[in-house]
Amino acid sequence: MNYLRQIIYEMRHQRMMTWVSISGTALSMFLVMALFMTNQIMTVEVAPESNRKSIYIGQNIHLTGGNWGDSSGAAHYETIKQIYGNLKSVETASYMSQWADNADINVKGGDTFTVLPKWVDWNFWKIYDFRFLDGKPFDEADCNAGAKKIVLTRSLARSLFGEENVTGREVLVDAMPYVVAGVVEDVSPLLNTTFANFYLVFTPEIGNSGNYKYFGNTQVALLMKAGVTFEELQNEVKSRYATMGNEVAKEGAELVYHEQPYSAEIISDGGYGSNNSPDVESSRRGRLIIYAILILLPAINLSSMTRSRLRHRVSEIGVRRAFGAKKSSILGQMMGENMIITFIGGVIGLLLSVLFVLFASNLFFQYSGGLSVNSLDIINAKPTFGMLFTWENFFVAFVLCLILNILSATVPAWQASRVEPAVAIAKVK
Amino acid sequence: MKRNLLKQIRNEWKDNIWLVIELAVVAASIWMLVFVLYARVKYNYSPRGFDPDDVYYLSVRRIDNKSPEYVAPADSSDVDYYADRKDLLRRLRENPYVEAVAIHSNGLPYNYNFSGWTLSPFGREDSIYYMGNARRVSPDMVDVLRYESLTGLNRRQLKAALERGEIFISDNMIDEDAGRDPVDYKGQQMIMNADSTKIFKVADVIRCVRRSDYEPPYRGTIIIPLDEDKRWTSEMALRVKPGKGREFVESFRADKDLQRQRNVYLTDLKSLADIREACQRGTDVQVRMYFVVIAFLLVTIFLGLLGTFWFRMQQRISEIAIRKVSGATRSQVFRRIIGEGMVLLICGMLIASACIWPLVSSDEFGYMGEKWYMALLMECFTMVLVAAGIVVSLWYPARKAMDIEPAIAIKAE
Repeated sequence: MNYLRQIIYEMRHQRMMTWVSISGTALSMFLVMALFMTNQIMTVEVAPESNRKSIYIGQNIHLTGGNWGDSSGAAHYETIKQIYGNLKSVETASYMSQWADNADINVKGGDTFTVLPKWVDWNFWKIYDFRFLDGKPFDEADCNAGAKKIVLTRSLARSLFGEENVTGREVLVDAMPYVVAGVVEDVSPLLNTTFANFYLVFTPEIGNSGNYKYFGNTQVALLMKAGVTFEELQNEVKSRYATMGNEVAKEGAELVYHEQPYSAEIISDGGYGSNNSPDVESSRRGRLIIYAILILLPAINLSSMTRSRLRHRVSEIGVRRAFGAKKSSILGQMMGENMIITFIGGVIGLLLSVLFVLFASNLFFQYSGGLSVNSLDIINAKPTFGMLFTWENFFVAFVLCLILNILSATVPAWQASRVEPAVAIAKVK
Repeated sequence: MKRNLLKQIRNEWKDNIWLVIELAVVAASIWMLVFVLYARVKYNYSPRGFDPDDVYYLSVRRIDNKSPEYVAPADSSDVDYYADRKDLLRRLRENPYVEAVAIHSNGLPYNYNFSGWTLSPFGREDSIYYMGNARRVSPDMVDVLRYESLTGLNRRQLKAALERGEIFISDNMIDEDAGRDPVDYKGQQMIMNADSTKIFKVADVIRCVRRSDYEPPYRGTIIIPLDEDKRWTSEMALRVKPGKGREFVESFRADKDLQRQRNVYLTDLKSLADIREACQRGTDVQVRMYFVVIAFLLVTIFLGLLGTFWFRMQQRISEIAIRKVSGATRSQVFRRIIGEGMVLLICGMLIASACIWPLVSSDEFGYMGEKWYMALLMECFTMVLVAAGIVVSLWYPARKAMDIEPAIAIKAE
């Protein structure tokens, strides 16, 4: 309690130092946590992508030479099936459209909404945990028959019908009639693979869009079997690429492999195209350098100020040492005092970072892989509170406070604890 | 005076060494950031090859004959989606706010599609001479995007060339074509994609239609004509009269005849400005983030120097008082403190230079594709920026020191 009183006295006595220390710590915490949380959102496991770290996406194809020149883009259904179908490492594979233009949807005679569709197969509903508010997903028989069924999101169902219990009713999508199979909870646009405003039945015809050999509009989500590593999955895919590459070579072309399949982190990062490979290692390295700078510089500042502050208290330390205080107790007190300042700054920084990420982070970070995004609404989407409220975030914030404290106070406190009482008191005189 | 300053800095080396390290890290970081930022944004200020203002995108859709919305023709020969589209094009062209309308496939910029087509001069089709992003457009696209001829042709001449079925290529070529000038191909017959049945005449060389504002020209551009009467494509682009975008959008939404003609309808109206924002958000936020990190680094310097010098001034009250008694003016006291900060900055910059120069000149970085003197220029800019930060942060402690009353300070001591 005395320590606490002393540190409060010190903070009030040295207002400038207190202000500078707390704001420096808060600023560092704010930036590191804002960066960390926004990065975590790219892979955060929330419904319907609650197991997204076990799901990899196979997409895009790149051909050079022959009649293809240098062509790349979304792949044909048969191409994707040839590369990713029946892989040993995969428990369930879900085929879906890779891209979509906005579509017009309306109830006959009602307002038309131009929103984003997605074509998905029956396995899509198995590997992603959508919450159905009404009805049920379409099944294998629906997909094989190319059923004109549709699953709406809650907000679209409300816009179209004014309610959510609309299973069995009819809507027009680009002037074609569809029967509502079910209504699901809205999906955050930050969940790139599953986001859409409504879902239609995926068929090979949809996946072969454009009628080019190899190219179309199909991607596949691969849920790995338990115990299988990503390397094993990737090796299988590489082997399939090699086989298909031999076929393509007969046409005088080359099939270029770009490190597929992709993790949720790569998909969200979006730093790749159909004709180049993602470089997630470089992104991680860049982030680590930024974290290091954001932590080290304030730590140097705080360390410098702690040194100056302790120099003022050298006589007090000398007297306490003369009365038998151990070096370890002086060291502990100094570290503890500094921890209080770090903690206050840390809490302020953490609160600011949460507010920033919730309300303004989309101005400084891109959550949606931008290459195929066709709507500003998606680009401007903000994370939900549930995406930030993870124990991992709080744990990292606490560890960050400890690191800042250790970096900024250890050396000055250790030096202060080694002060010889006679020397300290004499210096003051 | 200067010798005394250096001696004082040396005497307080234990504190100063940390400040120098901090300044070195900050200077090195800012230097790298401004250099990357420069390399990233410089293309933003170079010609794009098109005029993006007042341009809109529309999606063209057909109503399937299985749809209840399908309008059955009077007789079977009357089913003609092209005629319906042509009617819509005509109505749009008659709209008072519209300047030009075209259909296209991959014709608009602000996406990273690359449809890589090759061209070889007729008679030498064994090797590729030119590769570009194939943009297929109807002739009016010349007015919609306002292509820029590099040989002095006006837009009317460019449109006429597309109407004759001729193509344009752009002024940039891939590396393996180094040494050849695209202008040499003007007027030549070229074979497309090694298919001797596809022979086009190059009508002109235009400035490359870049894919985004930040990206440097990515290989070439090939503009290929698209016949509005014979080729189906789901994309349309139009240019409205200057500043009439809002009026056009309102008139389009209010006029059902502009949106649909029998079994063809137009939807998903978007401005090219919105498409640009969606496409470039990744780079935009990256650039903003660089500015935020630079600001953070400067604030860090501000807080570090302010805190340290605040304590330092408290310790030096008696010293400053004696110097003032000995005749030092207020400005000399101020200059001395600022001078101390500048000496520390020079030390920090020397360390930063020793770390950064080998890095930026390495094969991996290669001065980021710039000349070596750009790195030097960025270093100078960094030094000025950090020096300004130092002056701001030392201002308050220095003012406090200037205001010390010698008699009171010495008495208090």
